[in-house]
This record gives sequence, structure tokens and C-alpha cells, in this order.
Amino acid sequence: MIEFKDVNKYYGEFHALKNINLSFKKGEVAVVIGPSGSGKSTMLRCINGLEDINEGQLLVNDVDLHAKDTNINSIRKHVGMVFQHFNLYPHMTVLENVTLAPIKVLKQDPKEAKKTAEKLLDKVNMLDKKDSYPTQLSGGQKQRIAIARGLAMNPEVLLFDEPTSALDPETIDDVLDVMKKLAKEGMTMIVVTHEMGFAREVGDRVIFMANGEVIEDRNAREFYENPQDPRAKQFLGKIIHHV
Amino acid sequence: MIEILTNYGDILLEGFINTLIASLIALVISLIIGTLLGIFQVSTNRLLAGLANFYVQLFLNIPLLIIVLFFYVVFPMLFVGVNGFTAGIIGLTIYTSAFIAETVRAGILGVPKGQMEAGLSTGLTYSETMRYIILPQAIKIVIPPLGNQFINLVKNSSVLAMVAGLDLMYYGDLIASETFNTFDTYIIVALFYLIITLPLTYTMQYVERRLAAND
Repeated sequence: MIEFKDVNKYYGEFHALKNINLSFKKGEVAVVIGPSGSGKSTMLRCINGLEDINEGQLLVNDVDLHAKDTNINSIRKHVGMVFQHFNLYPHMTVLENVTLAPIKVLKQDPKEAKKTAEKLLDKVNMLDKKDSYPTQLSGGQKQRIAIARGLAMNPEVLLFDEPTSALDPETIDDVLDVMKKLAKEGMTMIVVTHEMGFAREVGDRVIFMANGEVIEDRNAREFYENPQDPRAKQFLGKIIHHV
Repeated sequence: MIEILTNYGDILLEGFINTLIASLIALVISLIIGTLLGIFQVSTNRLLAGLANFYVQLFLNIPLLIIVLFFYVVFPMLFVGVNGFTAGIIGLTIYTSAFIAETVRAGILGVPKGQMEAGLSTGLTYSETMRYIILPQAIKIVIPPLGNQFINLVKNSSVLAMVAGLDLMYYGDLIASETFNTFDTYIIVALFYLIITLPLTYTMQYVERRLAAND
């Protein structure tokens, strides 16, 4: 459902994405790893048009995302995103955070949207905080609400941009548990993360990136047991050493 | 001092009311124009942003008096005559709206970038994200500096005196030159300005405290 064809991206002189060819299928959980500055977040952000590409083609549901006549908003409706720093709306309650887009974009009836939101908040174990404001919550709680906000649009794919990197260690598991639950329900997910446990447990596939290139793109278990590229070996060695 | 108040009380009051009216009109209009310009300045439409920037930079960087004199002296030669009061209000509005635009622009840019990205990524359009997510947060940032702009506006309205604008300062000058009692006259005029600006200051402080409590 998502396809990168010879995608290149530059920030001025800097070649951020080099000839990316990737495709993601429905129902797949892909984990993207790599050292910082490797282009993994940039790649992810291209999928919902938060970043432009300079060369090549990026198809989402067979629509060329960066073609002139493409309405980017109609694609974003189907592509949810969860950010490293949550980006919840601080002036709205938890419930309002989740219902805003369904009401304004999908034109859902507010009562209907509220019902759906409550179901989703229950799913991420945050229903009791529905009337709180984001500032009253911990990072892990905020991130679970951000996931519910993404789910409220009933997206075909959910993108995660280092969802646990800004969290206190003790709240990481709550977020990962929610993500695992989603993965097991068949949600299509592309996850940029350093959480190796998550990658190994629910990842169908691991994409290892370095210096703007896709170095390895393989079955998750194979990748961990037997990484091919020396950079991947080195990276895995460092991370596993830490854990 | 009592003598001035009893002899000239009526024209002082007229000047006070005119200052109040001029400030109020300029405030409302420059708030509307300034807010729109501020939003245009951060727009992704380059033409719109460029035009707004040009306006703001132009009027931010020339003296208020020149703008007012332009409308009082030059404008009537080209188009239609305006009295000092009107020329003053036009000048004040144009000048203040540039400052308000800068304040609003800074407020919008003060909202973290991730907020816009979060809005867009849920399928909201740029203008919907502005309206529901960015602007409500920008208002909180903008209110304290905006209060200062309001107070500056009231004080700046004294420029009307230079173009026979019949404001407080104009009548103050008149009384001073008639009575030769400049000291008492200008103290009275200053007190009249304080009647407007002090409540404004305290209101702003109250609003700021309320906003801080909500954080």
C-alpha cells in the first residue's frame, strides 16, 4: 500500500535520502532502525507529506503523494502519525484531542465521535483521564492518548516516530503494550524505534538505515540472528550491549 | 490648578473623550488588521507573506508623526480632505497595526512546530490547524505584549495634537499657551492619560495572572 520508488531527498547540499526503494504491505509491522541522522525519521515523515521529496515517486494507495494534483489532506486522513514528543494539543482536554479531527475532517457527529473516542481511550487504558488536560499527564500517558488520537481517524496505517524515546523508562512498557496489542490486531504499522524487544516480538520485518540509505530490509528474526552488513552488526552490538 | 480645572474643565473633558474615542477606534481596527497581517506573515503563500512583511517593515520603521502628517497634509492634496482627528486615527491605526502584526507573528511562531505537524497529520487543512490548534495557543502568548501595545496606542494618540486633532494633548497645549501655567496644565493632562492607562495596565496584569493560573 506504500511504495518508495527511487526516492531522493536533499536538505541543501546534504543528501538525506539516497535512492530509497521500499514497499509496505497491508497488515505488516515494519520496524525501522539505524543510528541518528540515518534518515529513518525523514523517510517516515515523507509518507504523510510532512517532508517533501526531490526525486522519485512515493505512492500511498496508488496515489502519487508528491504529484501536483494530489490533495495531501485526503491521504493524511488514512495515514496516522505518532510523534516522539506526543504533540498533544495543550489547550484541549484528552477527549477533545481525540475527537477534533474526526469531527472536523470526517464530519462525524460529535456524539458519535465522543463514543468512538471513549472506546479508543479505554483501549489504551486512559479512559479515566478523558477530561484531564495534557499537562496533568505523564509522558507515557500522553503517548497513549496520541495513539488513540491517531486511531480515531481509523487510518489504514499508523506511523510511529520514535514513540518511546522521550519517555521515562518506567512508562515505556505501557506504550509498548498498546503498540503490541495493535500489531496483533492486524494494524499496519511503520515504527521508527530503538526498542529491540518490540522489534523482535512483533516486527514482521526490520529495515536498517544508515547515511540515508536502506542497508538491510529483512525478516526481523533473520536480521537479529544474522545481520549481514558490518554497519548493522556494529549497530546491533552497541544496542544489545546497552540492554 | 483648581483654576485651570474650573475655567477649562469643559474643553479638557472634550479632549479626554476625543482621546478615548480615537484610541478605541484605532485599537479595534488595528487589532483586526494587525491580526490578519500577522497571520499572513507566516502564511505559506509567498505573495501574501511578502506583502504583509512589506507593510509591517515599512510602518514599523518610520515615525508615527510622519504617517499622521502624510494623511493630514499630503493625502488631501491627492484625494479628499480629512480633518486632523480623522488623519490622526488613520495614522495611529496604520502604525499600531504593524506592531500588533509583529506581536501576533511572534505569538504564532512561539507555538511549537509539532503542533502544526500534529494537526496536519490528522488530515486537518493548514487553515483548520491554524484556527483550532495554533491560534488558540498563540493568543495566550500574545496577550501580555498586546496589552503593552494598547497602552502605547493611548499614549501615542497625543500625536493628534500636532494636526489639530482636538484631543487631550491638543487642548492641553492650548490651555498652556493661554494661561502660561505650563506646569499645572501638563500635570493635569498627564493625570487624564493615567485615568485611561492605569486601569488598562491593571486589567492586563489581572488577565496575565489568570492565564498563568490556567497553565
